[in-house]
Amino acid sequence: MSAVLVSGLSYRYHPRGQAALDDVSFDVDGGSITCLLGPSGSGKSTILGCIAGILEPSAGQLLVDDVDLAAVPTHRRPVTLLMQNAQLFAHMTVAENVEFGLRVRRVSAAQRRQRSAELLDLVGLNGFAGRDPGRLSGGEQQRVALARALATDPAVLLADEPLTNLDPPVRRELQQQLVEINRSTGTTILFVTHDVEEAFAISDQLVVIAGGRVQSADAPSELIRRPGTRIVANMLGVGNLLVGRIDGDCLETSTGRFRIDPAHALLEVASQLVDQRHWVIHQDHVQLLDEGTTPTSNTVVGTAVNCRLVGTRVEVAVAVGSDTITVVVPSERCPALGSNVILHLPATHLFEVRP
Amino acid sequence: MRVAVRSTLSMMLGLAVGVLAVAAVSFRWVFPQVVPDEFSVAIAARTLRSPATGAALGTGIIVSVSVTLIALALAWPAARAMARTSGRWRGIVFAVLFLPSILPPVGLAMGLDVALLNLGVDGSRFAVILAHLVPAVPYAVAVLTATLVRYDDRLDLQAATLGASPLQVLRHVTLPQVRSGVVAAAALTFVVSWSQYLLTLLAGSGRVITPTVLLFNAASGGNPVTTATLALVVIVPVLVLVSVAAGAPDQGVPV
Repeated sequence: MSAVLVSGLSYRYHPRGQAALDDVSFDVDGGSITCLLGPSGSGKSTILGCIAGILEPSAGQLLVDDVDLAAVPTHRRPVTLLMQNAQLFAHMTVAENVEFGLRVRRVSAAQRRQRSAELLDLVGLNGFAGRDPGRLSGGEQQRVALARALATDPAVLLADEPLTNLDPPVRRELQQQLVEINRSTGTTILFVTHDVEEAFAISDQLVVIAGGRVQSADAPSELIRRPGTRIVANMLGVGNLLVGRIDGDCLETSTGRFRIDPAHALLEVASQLVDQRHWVIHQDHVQLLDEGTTPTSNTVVGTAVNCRLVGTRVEVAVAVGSDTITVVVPSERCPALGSNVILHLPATHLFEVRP
Repeated sequence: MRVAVRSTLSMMLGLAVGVLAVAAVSFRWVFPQVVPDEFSVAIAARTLRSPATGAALGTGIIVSVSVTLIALALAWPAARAMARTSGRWRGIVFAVLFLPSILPPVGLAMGLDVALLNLGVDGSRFAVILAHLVPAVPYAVAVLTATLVRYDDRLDLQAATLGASPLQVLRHVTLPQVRSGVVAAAALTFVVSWSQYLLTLLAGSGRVITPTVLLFNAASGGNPVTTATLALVVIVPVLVLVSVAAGAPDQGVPV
């Protein structure tokens, strides 16, 4: 069942200005973590603003647990918003911050205290109840904000880049914590980020936004394999783009002739023989064959022109004709710069993308 | 530097209040004597115990507190809007708001009196309150705007998304965060109203007597001891308010 259904959502910051959101539609499964991924200014935070009731859409429908939010004021919506800055109330203690949502709902003081103790325990801040939030670290402040956002058991937790300002170790720790909380409480989380790594680390579903439109929506593992559009491929860091004409079950490019899986081709264009088509293959799926291997189907010979260390692996740029193909290999297999290498591009991982 | 200026101003104010206090309990103090010949609290006590002084104090407090509350209520939405507008538009609106304050006081007071006469409310406390709002509201707007410009509106949005109604947001989040600015605006508005002489005299048609009106009457009557006593009556509430406003802390910086 969909916890959130966004249908035909449009929004303009100025009546005669460009649309910040243009006919955006997607749904969020109940109990999942769904990431809205996109560059700055793509409209992802605007979507959260519309769901939270901070912004009024110019068109479209928003449903949370099958309830239309159109006539529901901000403070009555079954969602809470976790902002980029923790936005803690400085005149309250940590516990009072966590209890805020319950206090305005007139929950008894005893129940509030019990709930805030549970939540502070859940986010690893036992013993912080009486502290001044201004004296906490950035990570601790975001943990308090997370506990506060969860206190009222929202149907959906909207998280607007809440980890962006944190140091990488704290960030990774909180990502893990967020996933654990999602799994233990079943809270649906709609998480906005521009960080691909973060999106892949936490999400069950990815909705890629660019230019105020949904570009693709799918599970992360599926999106990385078949991004759908060039924009998504670029955003997800799928580095290898091939341009060429389809000839039967082969792709004829300046790099070489590759056998393709016809199931991976977009079917709406009939004139396959004349159109230039765009295909991608993720660098993880390109194989560097051992020296001396006889070139066979879907192999090309090129020259290693650049090596870049990425963690414990090396990203090797290989010049093939006028194109460059990137392959990722263990550091011990890194070829010498200028040496000839043989690459294999499996047909099962070559996917057509829209320009 | 700031401490030195504050100390100098405090000393000057203390000296002025000290001289008034001595004058209020002097019996014969004529030029060029540095200190009075004799001291007596009789005139000061009689002035303070006088029913006229008590009534004036009551009227003054009712009028000035009413003006303060109404001015803050009017100024709050205006200041919120002003805090969100750009600097140029803010300057223009401030200029329009403060126009009555740069008019000659007699012209302003006469004009307001005519307007109140036309409304048929001249000579009442209500008329005086309306008249005082004209110079008081701009100050309230100015102080509140200066406070709200620094306030992060996202705190209100955050509170609303946590389930707080607009009134709960104001009560539990906004006001505690900008308390010092609101107290300063209230103190300034009270002082502006409390110190009005001409507007009170004309709008009240001489029937609404506040301590400031009594003070001016005593000053024109030529009795220095009564004048000094009434001057203290006018000044002390102002000093108390200014002290409270200066000591009111904000409830923390947003985090």
